[in-house]
Amino acid sequence: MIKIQKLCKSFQRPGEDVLHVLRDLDFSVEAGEFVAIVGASGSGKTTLMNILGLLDRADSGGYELHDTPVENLSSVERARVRNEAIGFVFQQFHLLPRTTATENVELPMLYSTRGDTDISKKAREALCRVGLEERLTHYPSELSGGQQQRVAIARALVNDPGIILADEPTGNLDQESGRQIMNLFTELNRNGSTILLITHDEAIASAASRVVRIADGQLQEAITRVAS
Amino acid sequence: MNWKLLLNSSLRNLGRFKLRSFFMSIGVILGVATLIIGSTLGGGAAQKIGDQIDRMFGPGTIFIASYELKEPDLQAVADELDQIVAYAPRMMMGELEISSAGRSSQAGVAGYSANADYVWNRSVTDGRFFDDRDIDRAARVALIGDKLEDELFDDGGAIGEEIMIGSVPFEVVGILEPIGIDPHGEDRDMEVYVPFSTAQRRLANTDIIGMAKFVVSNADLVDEDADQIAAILRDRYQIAEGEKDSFQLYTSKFADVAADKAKRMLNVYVLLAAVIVLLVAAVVIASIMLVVVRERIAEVGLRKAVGATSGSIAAQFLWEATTVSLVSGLLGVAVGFGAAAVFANLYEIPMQLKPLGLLVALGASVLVGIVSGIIPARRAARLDPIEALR
Repeated sequence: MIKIQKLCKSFQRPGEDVLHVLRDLDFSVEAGEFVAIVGASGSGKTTLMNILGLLDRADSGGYELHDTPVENLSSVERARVRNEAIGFVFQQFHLLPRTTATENVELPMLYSTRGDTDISKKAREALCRVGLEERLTHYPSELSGGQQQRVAIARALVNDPGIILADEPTGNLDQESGRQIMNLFTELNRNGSTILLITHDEAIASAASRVVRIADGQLQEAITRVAS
Repeated sequence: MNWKLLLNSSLRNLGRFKLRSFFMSIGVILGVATLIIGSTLGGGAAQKIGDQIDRMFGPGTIFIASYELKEPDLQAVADELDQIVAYAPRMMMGELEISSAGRSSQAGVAGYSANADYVWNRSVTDGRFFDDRDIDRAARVALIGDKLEDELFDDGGAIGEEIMIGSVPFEVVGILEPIGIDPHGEDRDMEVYVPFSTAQRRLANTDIIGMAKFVVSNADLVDEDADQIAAILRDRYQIAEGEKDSFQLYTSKFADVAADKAKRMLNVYVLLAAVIVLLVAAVVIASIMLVVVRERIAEVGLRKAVGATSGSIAAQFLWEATTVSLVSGLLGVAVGFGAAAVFANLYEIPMQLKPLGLLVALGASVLVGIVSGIIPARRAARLDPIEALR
């Protein structure tokens, strides 16, 4: 599903040395996997996530998504891939304020070219999948952190993307809410979603079926477990 | 891209920030209302100014004002120049206290002759005008405007009643034809007319008349006639060669030019006022939208992450600015028509419905939205999603 070869990305801030964040990084994810990428802060895991999510471009290297090279797509085409093939979950949830849960989940469908007719119905179904059928018309300010993150996950799911990219999804949550969110990811994975989780927390990463470690701009396989 | 849904969500967005939307609207509402008032009342007001000037001058008339003008001067001019068909003095007394049976009011008082109904274009709707006997005897008779009648007497019936002008008693013999408010803002339906001889002897104790109007036989020659009048008066007043006139002459040709100018100025000022207000409105909308973009950086980043292109982000902000502006424009049309109706009623100006004015007003509001939305929309579209989501 995801195939990355010799990916390089470096940054240069004025007056500082060039920072090689990713160096000849190889990585691949098969459909149906639940992979956790673990790394200390500054290890380049968010940079990797941004490149995987087509929010950023690598300096060099190959990236194939669904067997299609994406390095040379135009910005409009990349926007379309983000819309249809990728679902994002962020640490800060990034829900629109003063906008109901259902309307937040409808958002990706506004930019879809598929021409969904009943986006409200699809949004409600996605909210049911994450257990928020009782909170459809609530505003983010009326929801707990865990519930807000569920809305964000429903938003990531609603366009049926092949893969969900989650960047520290439990980082802003208490332990119990974090555990519930991880259970939700496990359940979604069991039902067929491919999940790529980025975290600095080994305990959180242990929910994944495969854990890779990022350090010095490269990945190392850590533990491989057979998905139950 | 699902444009219909996207536009809908922009609309909902505006509804969520009512106070902000209100501040963005107010300038456009005022600007468009000004345009609507201008287009519905401008023609009528210009017409009214024209009518008032026509009433004051009429075709083929010469208006004279001088602090030393007396009746014999007018007589001399009329005797010497055959083309003078008629003349009539107008002796302005200013505001005086008018009272009757315990009620009183301030009103402009002026002295006129028996032919003033013809020369000064104002007759009576009830009772009678002055006659030569009134002038010869300096009779204490008065004509009053209908508004003054309403102020002093219940349910009309002023004719035959006595009023006091200052401390001098007069009999009301006629009610003046209503002509409304003149271009100087004077309510001419509050006036009192008395014979000019009475004004001279019983109210002012002076021979000075101050103003008069001549009617000439050929309207095309008023300017030449005015020159001849000037020559006679300079002679009578013994004004030496090279000295300035002690009087001013205005002809109906001059009045036509002045009326045209007044009409044009009215249109220009209304348009100018509307344009300035709309420009300010555009700046206000643009600056509020810029703040909105900054406030919604995370939203823009998120929208890009879930598939928005730069184009659709720009379109969203442009659409929001244009919607505010267009909706405000529609409100402005309503406010404008409302205000125009009030003014029309208050100042007795006929209203005209001009579809072109309506189109221009709504077009202007759309233009304001687009112009003010461009910069904020570009700024939003250029945001880097990674920076925006940080």
